[in-house]
Amino acid sequence: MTASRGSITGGCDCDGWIAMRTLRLNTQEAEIRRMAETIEDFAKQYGVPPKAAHHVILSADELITNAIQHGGPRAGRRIMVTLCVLPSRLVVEIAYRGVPFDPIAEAPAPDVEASLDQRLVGGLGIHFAKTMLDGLSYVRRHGMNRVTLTKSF
Amino acid sequence: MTMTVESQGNLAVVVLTGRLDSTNAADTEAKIVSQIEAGRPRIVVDASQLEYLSSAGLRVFLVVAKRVKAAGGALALHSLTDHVREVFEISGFINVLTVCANRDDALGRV
Repeated sequence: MTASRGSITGGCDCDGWIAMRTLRLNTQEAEIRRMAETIEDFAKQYGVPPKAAHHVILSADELITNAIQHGGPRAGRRIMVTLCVLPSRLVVEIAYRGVPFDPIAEAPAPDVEASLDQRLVGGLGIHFAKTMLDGLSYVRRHGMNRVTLTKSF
Repeated sequence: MTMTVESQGNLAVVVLTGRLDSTNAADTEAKIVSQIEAGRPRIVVDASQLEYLSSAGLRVFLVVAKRVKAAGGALALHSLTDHVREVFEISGFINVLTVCANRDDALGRV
């Protein structure tokens, strides 16, 4: 078994991380910007290609916006975002206390072939995340919703 | 994000710069809709400086497309950046909205 450069307990699939950063977001949409800037800086610092970073930022934006709009995180609670960079992937875990909410199971699949008049935007955010990421998972643990995003590069 | 509007007759050219996401989608939508309501249902969106677009931002273009259609006008976007083009492709919006290579083509489509 190879020795890990880092490990965290009970968190995301980050054994062997090269670098890790956490940030706590208020349950406000404006916090999305701070999250995006933090991931961008982090990705740049550790050599994650800009396109891969963009895929992760957009997916995290969609998932956090979704969670806030669904009233998932309780008012006054923070959303914990953990960023990990590994030798060839970037992992982001979004965790918050609140009512159980599985964004992957609850999203309706969008009809991307529909005409203008029939087009709806619901479910598009999850569709982006599923398309742009290499891994997307949800687990409810210790009263927290935890969504893990994985992007290989 | 900054938004500038150049209007001429029943046409408005909207230049979007920066990020269009859930934090500014409602405000951007209201500003473009106000152009339609002011008698300018021909809308050209210059997206050459639009660096980021989320599903909340896409919704703005969907609403505007429906509003201009109802008002007898049209919407055309041009000069999409790579990130924005990808979002249009994955969502399928590339097939339902008018996306052009440059301003002249877009002006010809509205």
